[in-house]
Amino acid sequence: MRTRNPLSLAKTGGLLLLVAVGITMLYPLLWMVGTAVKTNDPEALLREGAGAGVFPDDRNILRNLFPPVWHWENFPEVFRVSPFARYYFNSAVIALVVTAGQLATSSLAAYAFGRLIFRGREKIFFLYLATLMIPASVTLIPLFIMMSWAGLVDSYFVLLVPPMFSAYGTFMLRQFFKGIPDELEEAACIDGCNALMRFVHVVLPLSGPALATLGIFTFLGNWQSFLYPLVMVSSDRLKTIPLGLLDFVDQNSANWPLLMAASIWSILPVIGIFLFGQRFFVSGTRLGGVKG
Amino acid sequence: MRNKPLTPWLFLAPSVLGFAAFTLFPIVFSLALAFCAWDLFRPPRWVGWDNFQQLLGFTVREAPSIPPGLGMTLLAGCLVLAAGVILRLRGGARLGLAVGIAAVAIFVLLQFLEPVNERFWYYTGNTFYLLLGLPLSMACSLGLAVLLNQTIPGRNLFRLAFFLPSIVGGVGIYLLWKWIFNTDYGLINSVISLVHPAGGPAWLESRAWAKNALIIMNIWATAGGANMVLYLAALQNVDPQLHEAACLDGAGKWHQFLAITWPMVSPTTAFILIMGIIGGFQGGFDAAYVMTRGGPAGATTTLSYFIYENGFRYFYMGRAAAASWILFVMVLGLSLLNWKWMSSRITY
Amino acid sequence: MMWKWRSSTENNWRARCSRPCPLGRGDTAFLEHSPPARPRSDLPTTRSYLGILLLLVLVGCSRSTVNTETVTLHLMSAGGYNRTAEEEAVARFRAKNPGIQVEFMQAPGRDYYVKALATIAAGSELDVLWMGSGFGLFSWRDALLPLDDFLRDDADFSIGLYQDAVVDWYRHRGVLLGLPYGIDVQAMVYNRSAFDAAGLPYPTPDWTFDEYVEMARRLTAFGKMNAGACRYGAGVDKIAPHYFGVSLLSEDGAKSGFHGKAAREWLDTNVKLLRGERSFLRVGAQGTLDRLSEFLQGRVAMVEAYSWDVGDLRDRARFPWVLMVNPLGRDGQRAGWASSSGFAISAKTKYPREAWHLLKELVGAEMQVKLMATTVPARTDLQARYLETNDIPGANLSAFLEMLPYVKIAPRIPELLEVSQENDYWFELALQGDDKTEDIMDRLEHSTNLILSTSPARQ
Repeated sequence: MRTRNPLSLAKTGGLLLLVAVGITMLYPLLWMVGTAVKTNDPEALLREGAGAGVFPDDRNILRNLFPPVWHWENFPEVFRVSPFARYYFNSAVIALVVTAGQLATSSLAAYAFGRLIFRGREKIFFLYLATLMIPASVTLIPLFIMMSWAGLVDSYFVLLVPPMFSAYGTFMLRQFFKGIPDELEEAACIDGCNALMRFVHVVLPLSGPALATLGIFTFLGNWQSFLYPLVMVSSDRLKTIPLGLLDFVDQNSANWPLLMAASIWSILPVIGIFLFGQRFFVSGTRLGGVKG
Repeated sequence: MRNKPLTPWLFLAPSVLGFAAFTLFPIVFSLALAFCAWDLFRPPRWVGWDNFQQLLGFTVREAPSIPPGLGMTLLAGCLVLAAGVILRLRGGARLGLAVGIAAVAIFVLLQFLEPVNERFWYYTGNTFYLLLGLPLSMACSLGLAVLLNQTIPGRNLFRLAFFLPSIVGGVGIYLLWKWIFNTDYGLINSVISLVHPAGGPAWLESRAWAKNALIIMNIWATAGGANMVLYLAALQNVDPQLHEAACLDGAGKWHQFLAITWPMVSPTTAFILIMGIIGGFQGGFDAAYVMTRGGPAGATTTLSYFIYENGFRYFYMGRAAAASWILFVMVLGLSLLNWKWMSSRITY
Repeated sequence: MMWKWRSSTENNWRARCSRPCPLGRGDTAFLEHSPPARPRSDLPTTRSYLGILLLLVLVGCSRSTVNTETVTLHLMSAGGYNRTAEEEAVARFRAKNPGIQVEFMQAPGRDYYVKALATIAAGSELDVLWMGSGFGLFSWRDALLPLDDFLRDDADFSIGLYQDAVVDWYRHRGVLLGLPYGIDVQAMVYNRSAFDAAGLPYPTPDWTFDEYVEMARRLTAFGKMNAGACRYGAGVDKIAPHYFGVSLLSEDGAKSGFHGKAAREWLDTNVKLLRGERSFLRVGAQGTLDRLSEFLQGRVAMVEAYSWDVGDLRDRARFPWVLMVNPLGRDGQRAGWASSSGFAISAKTKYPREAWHLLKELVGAEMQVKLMATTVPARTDLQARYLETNDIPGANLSAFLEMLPYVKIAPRIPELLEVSQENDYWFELALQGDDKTEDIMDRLEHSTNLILSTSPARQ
C-alpha cells in the first residue's frame, strides 16, 4: 500500500518516544543504584575526587551517574549499622501470614456470597461494599484504642490479625467465583459432595490465577504498608522495613549513599517477585478491572 | 445447589467475625469518638458538635461571640441546596444558573464569615490539588497504552520497564525522590540547570512547588502501572476495522482517537477515576510523612496527614475522628458526583 | 479454557461420596428439607475452625507469656550516643539485682516523645523512659510516677548532690516526676581556619548579635569569591528569638510570648538573613542539610553547638574549632537554649520499686561520668571534672559551663508539639515571603493563644 512510508515513520517516531519515556522511567532507579555505590567518607573523597561523592561541583547527570570507584561496602554496612535483618524478617513474616490469612478468609466468604444461598446474603454483602469506601483513617484510631484496651498494641497479633480481614479481597473473589459455570458444581453435587468439598475440589483449583494475583497484590500492599505499623508498633523487634528505614534516616540523616543502599535492599524482594511472577501482575489487573 | 442452612455461616464465620470486630465496631466507635474529646490519659468528655465546629465552623467577622455553628449551618445549607439542584438538573443552562447562584451566595457569605480553622480548609485544598495528578497520570497511561498498542519490536520489554516503577513503592522510593528533588544536588534541578542556568525551584522546600513535586513523583509511579495495563486490554478490544474505515474516510489520527478510541475506553476511564478518587483522598500520607513531614508550612499536609497528626502526635483523638468522618463525607460526595457525571458519558 | 474438566478430581469425588444427593436448582433449593450425603462431613470444617481459633489465641497470648519468676523491665530511650552508657548502667543494675531482665525499646530521635506517649497511653509495658524537653507532655497528663516517696525512703540516694535548679525542672506542681543526669547547653562553635583565611578577628566573649551577623556576612562574601573556602558564614535553623528579648511562650506558659515590636524585628531579621541576603545557610529540620555535617565538612564557618556535639567535633573535624558563648542580644542580655536529660518512671508501671532502682542507676555517678563527652553532669561534684575529662586543648569547652547561668528553659507545657509546629508553620510562611511579617506575627500570636486556651490537657 502507498501508505507504508508514513506509517513506518510514525512507528519510528513512536518507538523513539517510547525509548525516551522508558529512559525517563528507569533513570531514577539507575540514579538510586549510582548513589548507593558512592561514598560519604571524606578521606575517600579526597582520593577519588569530588565526583565520587554525592555533592559534586559539576552537576552533569551523565558523568555523575556512577562514581569512578564503586563502593560496594555500603550494602553490608546497612546491616551492620541497624538491625535490618530483623526488619526483613518482620516484613516477610507479616506479608506472608497476612496474605495467607486474607486468601483463606476472603475465598471462604466469597464462596459463600457467590455460590451459596442464605438469608440476608445481599444485605451483608452490601455492608461489605459500603465499608470499601470508608477511608482507613476512620478505623485506625478506634482500632488503636481497642488494641490498647486489650493490651495487644506492640505485638505480633495486632500486626497480623486485623489486616487479614479485607472486604476488597472478598469482593474481587466473589466476582471471579460468580463466573464459574454452575454445571461444574452441580456435577460434584450429583456425586454427593457437600459445600466444603465442592469448594476445595472444584472452585479452588480453578481459581489458581485469581488467588495468585490477589495474593501477590496483598503481599505487595502489606510489604509496603506504613501507616498501620507506624501507629501500632514502637518496639524495635517488631518493626517492619518501612519503619526501619525511617529509623535509619533519623540516625544517618545526610548519608545519602547509605540511605540509597538501604532503599535498594528494601525493594529487592519486590523486584524479585515481579520478575518471577510477571504474568500474574498483568493478568491480575485485568481480573480486577472492568471487563470492557 | 443444596446445602445445610448452617454451612454458609461456617464459611462466612472467619470473615464476618473479623469484619465485625475490626471494621464494623471501629466504625461505630469512631462515630461516637467524633463527638468526644479524649487524649487517652484522662477520661473522655462528651462535647457534642464542638469538634466539627472547630474544624468546619465559621464565625462572624468582628463578632466572635456568635457561635460558629450559625455560620457553618448557613454555608452547609448553601452547599446542600446547590448539590441537590445540580443532581436534579441535567440541562446546560439551568445547571449553569444554579451553580452561578450558589457561587455568588457563598462568596457573599464569606465576606461576613471567616473560618475558625482556616488551616483545615487549606489542607482540604491540598488534598484536592493532589488529586490533579490523577487525570494527568491517566492521560499518560492512555498515551503509553496507545503507543504500546502497535506492533513494535521489544514490546514486552517496554511494558516491563514501564511497569517497574509502579511496584517498587514504599519508603525507599520516597527517599529516592527526596534525594532527586534536592534543591542543589538533585537529579531534576541538575537537568533543569542545563537549559535554565538559574536552576530549578526549591522543590520540597518551597511552598509553591512541593505539591507539584509530589504530583510528578506520583505520575512517575503510576503512569506505566496497572492503569496502563487496563487501557491496553481495553484498546485491544477495539476493532481495528473501525480505524481503517475512519482512515479511509479521511479522518486524521487525532480525530480517530477522539471519535473511536476515547469512547471505547470510557468504561475503563470511569473505573480508574472512581478508584483513583477513593484512593487519592486517603493517600498522600506516606509521601508527606517521609519526604516533607507535612511540607514547608503545611504545603503537603493532606487530610489523612492532618488526621494522623491530630490523633497520634497531639493526641486529640476526638478531633481526629471528626476529621476522618468529614473526609469520608467528602469521598462519598465526590464519588456520587463522579458516578452521576460519568454514567451519562460512558458508551458501551 | 480455564473451566476444563479435570478427571482426577472427578475420581476423587467418586471415591469419597457414597450416596447421591438429590439435584436441586434455583434459589429455593436449600429450603427443601433433605438429608445431606454425609452428615459428619462438616466436622472437619468445625475442627479446622477451632484449630485456627486456637492458633490465633496462642499468637495473641504469646505476648503475655508471663513468667512470674522473672521480672522484666522495659526501658525506652532515643538510642544514639547514650546507648552504650545505658547498656552499662543496665549491666550494673542487673549485677545488683539478679533475676531482673531489662529490655530496650528504641524510638527514633524525632518522634521520641510521641512514641513514648503512645506506648504509655496504649498500656504497653514501659517502665523507665528517657526524659528531656518534652517533660510537659507527660507531666500534665499524669503519665509519670511521683518520685518523692522513693526519695524519702531511700537513704542511698542523695538528691542534694544534684544541682537544685536542674532538679526543679523535673517538678510539676511541686511533685518530682523525674531525675536528671545531665544538662544540655547550647553555645556557638566557629571554624578557626575559616576566620584566618578571611582575615577576620575571632569572636570574643563579649561579642554582640550585630557583630555576629557582620562576621557571617563577611565570611559569606569571602566564600563567594574564593572557591575552597567556607561558603557560608553561619548556619541556623532559625535565629533564636532570645537575641531580641522575646521567646515562644510567656513565663507561665499560658500565652504566646511573641508580641510587640521586638517580635516583628525578630521575624524581619530572620527573613532578611535567611532568605533575602542568603548570608546565613538554612540548616536543620526542614531541609536535607544537617547542621553539624555542614560545619564538619567545612561549608559553614559558625553554627550553634550543643553539648552532645563534643564527641563528633573532637573526632571528625579536620580543622581547629573553638567554642564561644552566645553573643549578647539586642537587649544586651545573654541567653541560650538549654534542656536537661534525665529519666522518669511511667505511671502505669507494674514494678515501681524495681524501676526506681534502675532509675537510680541510670542517673547515677557512673552514668554521668560515662556521658561527660555528651552532656554536662547534673551533679555539682562532677561538674568540676567536666573540663578535665573532655580535655581538648584550645577548644574553650568552658563556654558550655559559662552559659549555664544564662540559660532560659522553656516552660513545660503539654501542647509543646502543637505549639512548636504552629511556630514552624508561620515561620516557614514568612520565609516563603508571600505575606507581610506583621500579619504573620499577629496570626502566630493569635493561633498560639487559641491552642493554649482550648487545649484539653489543661481542662
